[in-house]
Amino acid sequence: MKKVFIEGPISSAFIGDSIAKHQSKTSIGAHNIFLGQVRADEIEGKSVAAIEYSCYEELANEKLHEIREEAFQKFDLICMHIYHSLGTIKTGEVCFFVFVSAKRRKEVYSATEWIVNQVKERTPIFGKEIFEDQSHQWKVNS
Amino acid sequence: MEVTLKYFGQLVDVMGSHEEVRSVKAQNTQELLEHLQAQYAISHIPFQLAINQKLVDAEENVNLNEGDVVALLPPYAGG
Repeated sequence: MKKVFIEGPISSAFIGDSIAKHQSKTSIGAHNIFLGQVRADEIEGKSVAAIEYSCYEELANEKLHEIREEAFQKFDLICMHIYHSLGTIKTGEVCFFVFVSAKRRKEVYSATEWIVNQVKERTPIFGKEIFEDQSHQWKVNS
Repeated sequence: MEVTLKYFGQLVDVMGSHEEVRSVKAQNTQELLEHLQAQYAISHIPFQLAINQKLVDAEENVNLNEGDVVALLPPYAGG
């Protein structure tokens, strides 16, 4: 089982290292990356300062494993990685990182979009939007 | 029988915990939900059940067994 969940934000250094690790896989000709960043949404005059992510880790890992298996069946990929933050992620920080690699570029665009959508729809991750005044509301994916 | 209940998202706020072992008379998921709804203001929160990590369809009424882990999952918000 691949490790997906990371406590805290996903740093630029982590993303850079992930790219560097693929230099030895020379059959790859195209990478595509999706980064989800916490947005300062304005809700009823208050602005979001952070999102606190939690998940049902056992079920989430099972669902992520299924998504991974299906992605390899559906698309001609060489490798793929999914990372998602847990804990408090401030606005402007990265909380979601999908990294898809294939021989040629055509596959990576559709695969990335499919994987991002599946993770949002099928993975039991929950987000508490914390406002600047420390009040909160529970996020629902739109 | 005793079941483990796991709460997520908004339900943690309402139920006041992440997880509890509860002794219930309920024999199935419908009776369990009626038991919880009678005690807690959860009727306005949409959620789905998972029993021992298997998702249950909304219209499905599943029999419960001693030691089952029942998770109450509000809408997902990952990404």
